[in-house]
Amino acid sequence: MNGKKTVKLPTQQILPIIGFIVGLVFFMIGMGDFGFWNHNTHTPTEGFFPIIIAVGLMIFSVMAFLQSLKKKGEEYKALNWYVPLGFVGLIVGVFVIGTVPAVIVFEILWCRFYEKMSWKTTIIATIFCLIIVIPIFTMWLQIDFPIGIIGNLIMGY
Amino acid sequence: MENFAWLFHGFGVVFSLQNLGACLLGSILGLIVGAMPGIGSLAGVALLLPLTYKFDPTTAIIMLGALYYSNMYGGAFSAILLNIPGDSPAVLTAVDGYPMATVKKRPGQALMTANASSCIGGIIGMLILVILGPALAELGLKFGPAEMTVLLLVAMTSIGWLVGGNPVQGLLLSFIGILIASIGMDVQTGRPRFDFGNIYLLGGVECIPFVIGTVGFAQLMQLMDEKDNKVNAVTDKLTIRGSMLTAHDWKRLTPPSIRAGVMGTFVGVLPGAGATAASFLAYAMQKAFKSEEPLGTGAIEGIAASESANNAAAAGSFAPLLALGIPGSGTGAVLLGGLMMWGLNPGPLLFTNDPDFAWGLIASLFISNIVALAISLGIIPVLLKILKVPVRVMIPIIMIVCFVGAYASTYSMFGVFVMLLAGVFGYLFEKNGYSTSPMLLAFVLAPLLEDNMRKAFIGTGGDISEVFFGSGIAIVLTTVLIVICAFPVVRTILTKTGAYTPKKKSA
Amino acid sequence: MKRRIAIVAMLIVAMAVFAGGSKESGDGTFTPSRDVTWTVTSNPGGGSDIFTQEAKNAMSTNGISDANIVIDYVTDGGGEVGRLNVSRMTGPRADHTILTFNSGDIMPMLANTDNRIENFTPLAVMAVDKQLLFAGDITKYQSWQEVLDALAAGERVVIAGSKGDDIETYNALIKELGVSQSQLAYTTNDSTSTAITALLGGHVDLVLGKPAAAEQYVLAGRMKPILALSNERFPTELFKDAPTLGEFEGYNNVEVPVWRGVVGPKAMSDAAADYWTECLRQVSETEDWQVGYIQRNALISQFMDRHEAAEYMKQYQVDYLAKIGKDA
Repeated sequence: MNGKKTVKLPTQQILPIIGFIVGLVFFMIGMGDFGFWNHNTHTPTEGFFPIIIAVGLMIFSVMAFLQSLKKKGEEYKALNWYVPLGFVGLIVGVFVIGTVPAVIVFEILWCRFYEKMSWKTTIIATIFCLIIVIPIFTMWLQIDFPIGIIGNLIMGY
Repeated sequence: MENFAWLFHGFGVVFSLQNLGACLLGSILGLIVGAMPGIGSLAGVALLLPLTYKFDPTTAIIMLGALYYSNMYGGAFSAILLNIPGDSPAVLTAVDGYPMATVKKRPGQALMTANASSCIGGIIGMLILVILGPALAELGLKFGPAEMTVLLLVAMTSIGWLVGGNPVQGLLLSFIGILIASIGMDVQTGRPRFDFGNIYLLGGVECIPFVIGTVGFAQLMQLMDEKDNKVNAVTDKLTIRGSMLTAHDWKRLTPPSIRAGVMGTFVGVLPGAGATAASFLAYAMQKAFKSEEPLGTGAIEGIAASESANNAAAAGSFAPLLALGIPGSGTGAVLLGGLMMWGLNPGPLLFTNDPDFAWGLIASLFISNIVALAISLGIIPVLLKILKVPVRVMIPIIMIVCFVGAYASTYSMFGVFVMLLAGVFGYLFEKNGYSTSPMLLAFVLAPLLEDNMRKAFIGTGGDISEVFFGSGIAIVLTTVLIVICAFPVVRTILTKTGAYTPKKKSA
Repeated sequence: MKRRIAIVAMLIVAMAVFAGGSKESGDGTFTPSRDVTWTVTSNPGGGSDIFTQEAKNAMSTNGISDANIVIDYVTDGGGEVGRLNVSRMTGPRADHTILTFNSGDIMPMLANTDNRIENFTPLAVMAVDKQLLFAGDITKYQSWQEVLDALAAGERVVIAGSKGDDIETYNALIKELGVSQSQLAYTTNDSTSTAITALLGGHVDLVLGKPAAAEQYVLAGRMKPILALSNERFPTELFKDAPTLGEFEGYNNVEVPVWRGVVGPKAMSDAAADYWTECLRQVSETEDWQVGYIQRNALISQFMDRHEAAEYMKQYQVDYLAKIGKDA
């Protein structure tokens, strides 16, 4: 499972479609909730600017879509997606066991068991991350990172 | 020049052991804080403010001024070495700095370029500040909502310079950026907008996690392709000697630094514009000039323009702060809070009532500029060691850095989610040939544009001509705007009719 | 077995260190054990900021609290994010977080969000404030009479001001004058200092603001108070020349009192709430506060402890919700 097999996806077409949908949603909400121009005060409403942009976005989306029809689709490898996947794992870890343990577990899993690095490298990488998290951000800059469900139980709140 | 006499008086105030020590300490802390993604100068100054309670006000502001200032130097480090801009003004430094460090294999020179042009920009900004003094602040006042609206429209057209090969895709993504930026509370009416019932969205999408995601995290996903390459990107030249700029490099970086420095100073003076807008505008301006290599591929000119402008803007923003008590940025605002805490009354009388303080601060900016430069140069060899670390080891570490930076900038997991989503979409768009930097420009400037435009409309009772032609400044800016917009059209027509043959462009 | 216990113990100690536990001594009293965050939901330089700075100074110079207080400006979403963050604060941070909370903050919060005063622990009401209208040194109208004449002639006059209670006062003003929103228009700014910027540049005709934020500019001759939005004139030298609206024929005074208070997160412990309300009571009695803040900014000193403040703020909420036609 090296994640190097490629899959072809028609994202060249999908992205403009997403753009169009975003434009449409903002246009509908803008028109529906805020309107375009306040005729009583002769001033723009809060919908004015987003509506203009949303219309522009829909136009550019259609143009980009038409341009993209010539293109054949982009190749994707699972490999690249290990980063967001791993990151989601990290977030879940933060919620459950807290930031510091999650960082340790994440680094060990990634370096030692995914990348098959030596224990020495793994530990150095982990310590490096902990230096960023604990002395710099937590102690000096006073950022309170989440301590997770388990941490909350231990601390009693 | 009376102001220079005052400046020398200011140097007299600063040259005490205690003040120089404060300046040095501030510079070092600023560099560290600036290099940490997610912690901008705002948080840095706010965090260190309490440290200065017991200081004499002059000493205190010297330290905070040095910190604010050297922060801009630090922001370039992670931008160039990791492609993670520490703060939004460094976005464009990453655009050229990272390729220069990795593709061109000149990391030392990239850092050196950033530092040298920061220094040039800063000195230009300070000289303008000294020469014009309070007059500079009065100039800033001339820019009301209408003038700002037209100026921002001019700035937004620079998206056109940034979009690169495919304008339709570039504009599509920029418009998405603008819509994302419009989420949150509307200032004019105080009503929530596009919050989709989500209380976090009520506060809008934070800039810093958005930037870390679209630039840094997207980059990480892409790096997975290269992680198993045996040969390291950089193997030699990791000494200070190997990082020296050649005479030719100097020749390339000086003109853009000077131009960007002058422009950045004036943008810094304008209400609410700040260092980010300055660096984007300077970069866009550089597109209009000749660069030896195309911008975005690791061009020295690009790094120089961006870095010089953001330091100059930091210097420029001191003008309204000191002369009128008006903060030009969030960081300036915290400094202002500091002034009050030390018993000074920031406002139009500060220069008259406390000249020691005001000029001492300006003098200290010169010194901290030099100190920050010296320290940065000294640590370049240490920083370069980061590049010796194999990519596959770096990836999980940078993931942690992205997490920490995104969390720290918002104090909440919301920032982390924004970062992740921005990263995944940033990767998808980049992979399909869209460039994300114009979107970041749009994201930063559009809310300013909208707010000023709506204030201008309220001020004029909805009279559009009054907005564009209501004052001399507005008329000049409108003319510039029309010329910029008409230029490509006219050129296309002339080219098609054969009346004009485009030269081979280098940019 | 022993080893396992030791590991668990170590883990707990480590967690406690990372989280920075709060100290609550045996007798149930509270003293801050880490840096205290004092959140302000508007920009520095404005009235809320000056209030916070002065209270904080009085606290440290008079030895009322030796806590290291850091002022944190959270202005996103018109301040709603800062208020929401504070209301949701839990754990030891809840005892170490306080929020400057004014009438100008509660109004938009009630109008636009589901956040209610019940999500906070009110700690004190400290002072009452009022507003004035100012002309700039280069602006068109230099007295209120000129403004009235201009309005009567159908001219358009633009006021700049901050959010929240400034808007309320503006609404009360146009109602009393009987003019439309487009005739006497209002631009909302993030802070009074941004509004002042527009006035100094001559981009608006008047600024609506509280005395504290305008003082330096009036002293420097850059701004001039032309109307007191109050039932009687301001007593201080700097502002006493500004007439009230009732002094002009055919109009009643307009006054929308603005209160300034402090709240903590809902999760703040009783011990911590007692501590902070006591600190603030002592602040309100110091000379620094009475002379340096209240007198200097032409305010009315009015201290309510946390129980009185809770009642007062709740009543304000009920009244305001009724006024804007929203259910409580």
